[in-house]
Amino acid sequence: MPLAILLSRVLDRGVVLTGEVVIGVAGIDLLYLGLDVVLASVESLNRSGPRPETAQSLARVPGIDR
Amino acid sequence: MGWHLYCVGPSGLPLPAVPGIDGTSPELVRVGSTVACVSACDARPEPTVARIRSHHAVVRAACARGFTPLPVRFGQWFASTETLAERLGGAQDALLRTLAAVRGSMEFTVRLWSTEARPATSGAFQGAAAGASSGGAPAANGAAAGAGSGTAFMRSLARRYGDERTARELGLRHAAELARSLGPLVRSERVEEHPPRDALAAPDGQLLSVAHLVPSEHSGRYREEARRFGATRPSLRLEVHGPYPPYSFVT
Repeated sequence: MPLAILLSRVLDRGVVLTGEVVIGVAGIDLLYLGLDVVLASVESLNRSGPRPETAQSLARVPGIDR
Repeated sequence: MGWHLYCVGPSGLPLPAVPGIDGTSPELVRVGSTVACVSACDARPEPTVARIRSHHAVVRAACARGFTPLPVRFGQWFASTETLAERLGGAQDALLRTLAAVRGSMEFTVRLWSTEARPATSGAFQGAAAGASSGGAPAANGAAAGAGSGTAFMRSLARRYGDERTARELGLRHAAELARSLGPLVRSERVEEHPPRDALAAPDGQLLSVAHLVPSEHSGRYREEARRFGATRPSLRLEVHGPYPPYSFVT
């Protein structure tokens, strides 16, 4: 499963039984920006190598290998 | 002891034979007519890609033996077995209804792109995307930077919103045709449009995504039919992903 689809499913879909839910990873407001698109962009940048100004934000996404 | 919850299944759900988050062993806790698949966890786990992959692996493993449990969103943590039982017990009717709705089915995602050239709006659009990728405020900054005047800025916004409408209508039309073409192979459908006014939406021409709930025995035929649908439409690029646990059909 592509990472973007995986994260959009596991973070944004599924049964919710408690009031507290995860809506973001590493401070990215996923609900506002559209999770699929943001993370697809992160994946693309990851593959092509981040530009200097994006390296810092990518470094804050835990678990994404660079 | 606290519990991280992966999925909720019907009684008889077998224990998934894969590691849970942080290498924990998943366990089953029976509540009423349902079974909760959980891992012991002292505190609410922070989301990381590794944990999210583990969460999904447990849910997928629970689906692998002929059961369709309800996948639970990452981050559902309960401080004690009593709290878990209270929450699940109080939602039994809804959980059992949803379990019946997805029984024997899995989710596929179809992503649709237009291969036709975008209309000429894209100055604002590309400016917006560039602004977003460099961490700036996406839409307004990108458009304003290239426009140079208030009138030009408003015109570029109007063109951009016109593009979004056109892409949305085109995407919905293709999704409806796809649903007709797949017919009884699909039990249920969720169209996932990009959020309106999302400056990053579809910079590569993606129109929308559609989630389909497909009976497991039709998985192979569904995939073939969906790909055939894409192959007969040169203006469309189509990707089929799945099968997945039915994340989109339980909320």
